[in-house]
Amino acid sequence: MTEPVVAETYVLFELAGTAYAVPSNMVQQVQMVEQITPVPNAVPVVEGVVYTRGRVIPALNLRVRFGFEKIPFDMRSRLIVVNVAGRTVGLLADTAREFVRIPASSIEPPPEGISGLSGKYLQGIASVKGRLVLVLRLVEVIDIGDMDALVTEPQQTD
Amino acid sequence: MSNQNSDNTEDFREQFLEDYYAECEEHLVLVRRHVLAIEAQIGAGSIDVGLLDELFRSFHTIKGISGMVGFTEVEQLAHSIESMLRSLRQAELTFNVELLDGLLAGVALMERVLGARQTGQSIPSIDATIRQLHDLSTSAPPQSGMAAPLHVGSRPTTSVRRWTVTFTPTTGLSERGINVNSIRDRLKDMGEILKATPLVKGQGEISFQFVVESIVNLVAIEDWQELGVVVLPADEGATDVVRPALPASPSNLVRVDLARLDELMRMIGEMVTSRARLEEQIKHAKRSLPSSEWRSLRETTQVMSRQLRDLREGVMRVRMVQIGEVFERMQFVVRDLARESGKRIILNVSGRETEIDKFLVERMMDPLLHLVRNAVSHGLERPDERVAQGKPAEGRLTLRAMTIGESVVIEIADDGRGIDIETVLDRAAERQLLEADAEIDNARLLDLICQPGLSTRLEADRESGRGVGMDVVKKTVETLSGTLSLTTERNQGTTFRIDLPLTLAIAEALIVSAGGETYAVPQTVVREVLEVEPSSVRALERNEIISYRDGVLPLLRLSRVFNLSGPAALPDRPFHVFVTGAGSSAVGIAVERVLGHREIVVRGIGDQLVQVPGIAGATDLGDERVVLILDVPALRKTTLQKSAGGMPAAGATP
Amino acid sequence: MKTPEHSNSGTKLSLDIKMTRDEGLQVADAAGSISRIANDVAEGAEIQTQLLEGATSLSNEMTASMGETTRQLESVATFVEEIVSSVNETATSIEQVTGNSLTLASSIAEIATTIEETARSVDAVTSTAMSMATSAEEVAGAMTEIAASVKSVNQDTESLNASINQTAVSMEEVARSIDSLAGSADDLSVSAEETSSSINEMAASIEEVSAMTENLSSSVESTATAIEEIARSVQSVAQNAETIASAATTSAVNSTQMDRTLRSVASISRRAEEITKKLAREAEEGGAAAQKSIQGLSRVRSSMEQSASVIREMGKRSDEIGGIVSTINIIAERTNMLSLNASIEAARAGDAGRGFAVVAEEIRNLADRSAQATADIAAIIRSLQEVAREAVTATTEGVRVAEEGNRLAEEGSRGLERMLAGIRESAGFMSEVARSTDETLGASQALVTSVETVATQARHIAAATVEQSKTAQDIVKSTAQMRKTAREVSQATNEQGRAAREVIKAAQNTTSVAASVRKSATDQSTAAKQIAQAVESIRRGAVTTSRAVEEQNKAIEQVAREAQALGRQVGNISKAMGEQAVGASQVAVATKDMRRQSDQLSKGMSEQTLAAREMTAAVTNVSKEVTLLTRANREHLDTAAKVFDGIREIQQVATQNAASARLLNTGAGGLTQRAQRLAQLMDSMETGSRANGSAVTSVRKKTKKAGNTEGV
Repeated sequence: MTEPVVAETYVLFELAGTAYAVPSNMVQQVQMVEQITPVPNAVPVVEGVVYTRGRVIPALNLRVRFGFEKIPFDMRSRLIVVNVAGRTVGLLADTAREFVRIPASSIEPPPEGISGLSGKYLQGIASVKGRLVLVLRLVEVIDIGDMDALVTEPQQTD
Repeated sequence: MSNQNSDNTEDFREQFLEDYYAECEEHLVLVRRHVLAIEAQIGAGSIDVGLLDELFRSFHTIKGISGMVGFTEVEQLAHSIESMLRSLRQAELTFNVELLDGLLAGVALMERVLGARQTGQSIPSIDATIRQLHDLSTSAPPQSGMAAPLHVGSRPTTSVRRWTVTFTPTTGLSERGINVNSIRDRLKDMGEILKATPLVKGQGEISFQFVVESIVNLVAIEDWQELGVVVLPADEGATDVVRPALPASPSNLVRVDLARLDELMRMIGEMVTSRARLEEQIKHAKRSLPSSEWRSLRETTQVMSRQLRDLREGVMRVRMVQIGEVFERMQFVVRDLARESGKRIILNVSGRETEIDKFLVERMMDPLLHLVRNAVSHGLERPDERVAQGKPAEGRLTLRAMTIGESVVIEIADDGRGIDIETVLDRAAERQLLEADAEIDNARLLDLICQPGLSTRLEADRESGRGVGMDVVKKTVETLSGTLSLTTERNQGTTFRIDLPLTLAIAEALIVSAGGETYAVPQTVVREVLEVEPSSVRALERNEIISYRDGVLPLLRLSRVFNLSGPAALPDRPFHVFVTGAGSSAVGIAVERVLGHREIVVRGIGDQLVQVPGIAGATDLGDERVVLILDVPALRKTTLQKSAGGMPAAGATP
Repeated sequence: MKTPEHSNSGTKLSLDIKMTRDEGLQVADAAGSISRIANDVAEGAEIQTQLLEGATSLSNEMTASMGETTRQLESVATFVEEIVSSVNETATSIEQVTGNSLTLASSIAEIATTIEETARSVDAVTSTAMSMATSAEEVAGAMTEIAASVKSVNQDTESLNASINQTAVSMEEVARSIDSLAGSADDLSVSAEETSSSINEMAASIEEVSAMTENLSSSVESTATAIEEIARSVQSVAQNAETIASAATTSAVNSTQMDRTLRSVASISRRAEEITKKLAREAEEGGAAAQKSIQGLSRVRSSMEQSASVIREMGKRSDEIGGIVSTINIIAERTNMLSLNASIEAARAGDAGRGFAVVAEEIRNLADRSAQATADIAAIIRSLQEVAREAVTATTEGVRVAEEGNRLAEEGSRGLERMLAGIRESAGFMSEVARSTDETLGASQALVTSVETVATQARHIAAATVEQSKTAQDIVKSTAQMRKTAREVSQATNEQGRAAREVIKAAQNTTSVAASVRKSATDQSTAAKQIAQAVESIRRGAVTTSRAVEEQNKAIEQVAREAQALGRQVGNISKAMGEQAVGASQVAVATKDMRRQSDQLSKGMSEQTLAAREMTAAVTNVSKEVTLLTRANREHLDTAAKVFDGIREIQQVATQNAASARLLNTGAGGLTQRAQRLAQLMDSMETGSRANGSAVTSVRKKTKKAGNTEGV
């Protein structure tokens, strides 16, 4: 699998009113949010694990990831199953309903001093049908390193 | 993720390339095997020309297909090696260690080039090696060198010899995966079985006798003894019939995309789950069906269970390859490293027929190589050091593989200096990974050396450029739902042991509920299930105990460990406890309720994000809901680490 | 007696005989006039007899009626007791109603503040209830009038009772007069007997002329005494007749008063009848109106129920639609998701998937449009459901209230029916009262007439007796003269002539007196009969009036009850309307009106409470009066019985007297003949005085014979 750099088609999803884009060839599939089994003592980003296409994969709550307030899941919520760097993970978004074509040329690099998302998650910003879309670097999004230390010691205190 | 059945030239090319890579790999496997065989024969005096022919044919094919796909480097390498082999065959060359090295170097480079082509990385330069090979090919006529010139056995054509191979199975051998079938397969690889007869010896012992025709000098293969095989040249004499080559070309083999096999396995896994559900439902239906109907229904499902088991095993077998492939690659690595470091190493390999899932092979290749490199680089001392210690000058490195139950066990053992515990502890204390003067056992030690960035010397690996360290080894093993363990002793050596479950692990599990969630516990670790009244729980310092048998049983509340909310936190109703461990090391794990037991399909949770202590994997109960599988040993460690004073302590129980 | 000088005596004798003859002729004349008077008396006695017969039969009737009257008065007394208690209840109820009407007023005030728009049927009910309220008011007014009428009727009844009492008193006096008459008649009878014995004696003494002369004188004496007695009796009779005449006049006056009273009662009763008829009409109208309102409410209720069920259906439908909408929503979401996945796969397929990608895009658009549409529908559904929920609540409430109104209207209708029936009954009673008062009027008129007749007759009697007295006086005078003469005769002659004269006189007197007596008695009898008749009529009228009064009271009480119930129902209907009505200013106005009316009603009810209390007192008085009346009536009954007996006796006596008078008449006739013959004889004596002895002897013999013959 080649690392997509100039992929043209993206899947758009929404988080807290903002639109984000991920390359569609990284997306295995999009599914509705049904059963998520919580994993004890996992980092808060990990909502739990889900079963999809015969495999058990983690479901990451993107709201937690990007520091937004958690909201309950509904009919519009979506789990976006992505394959990145040999890992298969699910991303929980408010909704994902659009498939767009963004030419690489129309993706502007992120401006300096962008608040909210740190620069390393952001590949760039594009305008799609008059709307501002943030194009993500998935590898960084699912990178474990900065997701807070895993809880290594099980707590058995009173 | 490739599309099939596309008419696009691009796609066709891709497909063709895949086939190309696979074929190259197959040939390289053969090459390695043959080279090892020849290596063995170097000591024996004469080299089987047949092997050379095989090698020649392999490289000839590689050259051809590489030319077709336009991989000129591979083509050139293959050509060079081919030339060398031609010279050898025509006895223009003496097969000596130099040649062997050159051959090996060429093969190694070829592998690298193919790898680079596959991953799109830069292709290493082949010029040096080609020159070297050229030099070797056109070197001076045979001279008596270091080793006795190999005599190429005279034969107008490849001579086929006949052997009598007698195999006596033992329990020990079968434990290691060595049985009549594996022996037969091996013999088939090497030649043609003319006859196979079982023999009954005294005391009810049975052995199997094969009459094999082979160009390979079967006697010369070293490890027959280990395999319980006795090889004798048959007296019927050799014929001059040119035997056709070993069936190396894949005429009656089918190449299957591993992804498809994954898919098959997944389907079978789901069938297992469905079958388990069906069994439960049938149990419930007992009430509402007439008993004769119900019995016949149950019989049918039992038949189906058996068929499903057979199917599962069949598909698993399809996925299986011999670990020998891995071991063979390692042998080359060992050889290179030994030469580089100037150490003398004897490599013992056993259990190469141990079948292992191809998926596991692919994932474990790098970690195993890493461990082997570590053993050679850091574990084994230089000959002089060894002699000073009273050890033989050659270091022994053992690669062992065996099947135990549903797992495959791989051991990499050396008899070197053992791990330098002091240094590790100091480094760990520096990084504040543990308190000073803490007790340390092998398990803890393993944890420490697997911490990323801890061990400095162990990170000098640039070979494959993939940044494999001990932490990656551990993670890979864990990702595959396996366990890594360590035994080390100063100046005696180090043994790494890897337990890997075969891909489709099916286990009987206890289904329990705690804190509003459902979990599965492998039946094998459960000794007993108890119902406990809350009033009978007593507190002892920071722990809880109940009376059990003649003593006490420490309790571990799952809900506390997992920080669960819900009634299990402090129930005033009776709750269930399942007992793990035995005797003084027994620990009771308290849950809300034991709901029953089921056959489950064990799936690993691949991603590191969800590698949490206490969770060993996941399964589903048929309704697409994930149920986490408890890692009971890890949970037990939790209690035991908290033990203090009057509590029964125990060692690490993996 | 000795005859001193025969010669002288002979001339003297012839003179005496002439004188005696003259006297005798006079006596004959007198006897003739007596006879005439006796005829008159006999006729009068005849009439009296007839009257007495009538009186007897009337007395019978009266006795019987009075017996019935007693019974009825007893029941009236009972009824009146009931009336008293009912009126007490009414008074209490009225008090309660007063309280309720105050509460009603405040409730209506509350309701008035929560009024909203109303439906058309509610308006109809409103106007109907208003008319019902009006009717109730009118009923209340009518009740007041009736109460007033009853009061005046009570007053009149009291006057009536007073008149009856007085009449009774008069009746007693009459009885007493009759008694004394009877006594006089007895005296007469005695006198007649005495006269006949005198005649016997006279007859006997004819033989013994000379001997008789002395007897004659004494007889004459005794006759004179007897006559004097008779004269006295006659005088007393005359006095009695005077008394009767004055009593009759008084009765006449009383009767006139009573007549006036009855007239006023009659007119009042007629007015009351009119009122109740009007009331009946209005109640019927009210009943019709209530029926209409009931129908209207039924329609309202059924239409509300329909609405409620329709709305519930609508709610169910919108719930179903809501469910379908959410299903569509889910499908739209899934479609979008699937098309997204399809686009992803198509992109992976590169060129080959391009066409597929376009299709997936279109599917996504469709799904999004669908989602939007279903979102709109969902919003509509939600608002519909909200509306349906509210409507269901409102109509359920409306159904409940309509049912309540229906129930109340039906109760009101039933109440009206009852009221109507009561009113009709009352009207009937009023008609009866009017009729009976008319009858009573007629009866009283007859009474007046008969009393007048009695008075006239009494006057006649008085005049007659005065005449008789005068005659008696004359007779006395003549008798005195005769006495003298007779003495002289007896000195000279025998006493037969005297005796005969006196006898004849006496007989005539007796006859005439008896005749007069008989006549007067007959008159009395007639008068008494008429009086009895009148009394009977009065009684009947009184009974009827009492009954009417009682019925009136019952009716009033009923009407009062119904009016009260109606008032309650009206109040309830108002309340129901208040709940049900939604924002019609009409209803608000109506409620204000009703509030006003209910205030008035409260006031009116308070007044009625007072009136009822007064009525209670009055009726209690009535009760007492009726009790007294009953008792008096019983006494009257006894008295009447006695009167009847007395009258019968009188009748007997009068018959006897009539017979005796006839006999006397006959006897007197005979005597006259004989007196004339005596006179003739005297003539012949005069001439043939010589033949004195033999003639006298033959006269004596003949006279003896005649006396023997007549001395029966």
